[in-house]
Amino acid sequence: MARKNAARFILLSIVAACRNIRRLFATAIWGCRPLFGKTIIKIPCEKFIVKRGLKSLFKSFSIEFLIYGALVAGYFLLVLHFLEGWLNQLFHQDRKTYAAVALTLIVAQGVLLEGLTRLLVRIGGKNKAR
Amino acid sequence: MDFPISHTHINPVYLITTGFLVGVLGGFFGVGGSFLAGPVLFGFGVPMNFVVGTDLAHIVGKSVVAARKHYSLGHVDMKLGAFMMIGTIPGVELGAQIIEGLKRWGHVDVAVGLAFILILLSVSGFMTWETWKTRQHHSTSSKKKGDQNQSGKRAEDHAFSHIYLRIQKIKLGPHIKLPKSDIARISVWSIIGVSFVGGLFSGFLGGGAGYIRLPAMIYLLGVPTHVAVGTDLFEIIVSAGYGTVTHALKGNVDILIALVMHTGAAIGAQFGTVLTQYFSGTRLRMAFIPLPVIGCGIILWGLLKGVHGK
Repeated sequence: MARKNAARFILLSIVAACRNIRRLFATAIWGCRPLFGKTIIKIPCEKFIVKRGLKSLFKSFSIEFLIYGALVAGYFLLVLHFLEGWLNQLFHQDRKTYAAVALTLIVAQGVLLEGLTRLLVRIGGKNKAR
Repeated sequence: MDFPISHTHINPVYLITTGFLVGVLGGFFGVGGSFLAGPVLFGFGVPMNFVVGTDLAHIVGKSVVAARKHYSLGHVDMKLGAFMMIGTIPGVELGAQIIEGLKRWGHVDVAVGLAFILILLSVSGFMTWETWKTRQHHSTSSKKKGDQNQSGKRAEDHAFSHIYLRIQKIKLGPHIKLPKSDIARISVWSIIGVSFVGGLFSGFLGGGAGYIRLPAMIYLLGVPTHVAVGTDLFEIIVSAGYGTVTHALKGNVDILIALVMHTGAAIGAQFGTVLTQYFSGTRLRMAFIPLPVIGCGIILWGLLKGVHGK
């Protein structure tokens, strides 16, 4: 019974979130203003500019996402696969080194992936300009 | 994929997707996203002590990059950040010690879960109130036909300035001057107090605790919003970095989970930042309101599942 209620609660929260996000998108993508959740009043002047902007954004993003996905998959296979055993051993044997390695790894990955995404965004921008 | 450190088995695609969503939220709403990452990890079956430590590690990778960007834009008040560190580090350590105590007591999941629910509901409630106030003000100011930008700024002053002005008048010395934050004189103790509470939440619940520190800096200390965001990110590096080390020493960090989650978060953050150009501020905050409630729902579900499982 309690689990059923919890599931119902989560479902209702998700519905509420979706409703808000849908309204948000309706305003941004189509330049429309939702009134009382149902009626939509169209504002034609902003409509096409915003729609075109978002379309190109999604297009360039999906290309970047594909390249990024391939690179991350390679990263997984090469790095994480080899690190798994060593990190587990370190965790159980030397906590101090594990703590230092953990912090170094996450900071290094942060800087590395940010550089990669920035590079992809720059390449995407250059292609668009051409 | 098996994660032997925390003895969990999670599909890495779920972790990357969670990281991506958290990254989008981070870029979109300007928050760390621990209010969603923590509950989701708990929902995946990760023990609560590992949720706290791993979430802290994952936040470090994200905030280093974001803080560097804000620093280059001149949005970080280093003097304020340095004084805040004095309160942040003991706060994080106290939070980590409370987790250790709860771990020994054997009730870490329930205690942290309930604290998480309380905090998330408060954040959601505060944001509802704040958005309602802003919308109410906008409707009043449009009736008066005043300048919208000017009246918006005045509304912020009317609603909260009396609080931070009173705090800035606290006579307990020593006092410092923060020119970058436009603060002529403030007691060091009020800065240390705010940062201590932020650190405590960071060490106890994981993540950067930006949901506590950022509003506290704006509404209690009177720091301008853009400086507060940059300085908060700097403080997150300190609190999450120290939290990662101290929790790793106590055996609460599964760095493999953090690394996998972060791969999704890196691209999500870029996407979220670009998306903000297409949405207005008030509507952004409106969409944010149900998210902490979803986090609450996931924790409740996890707690009930755990209790039934036992």
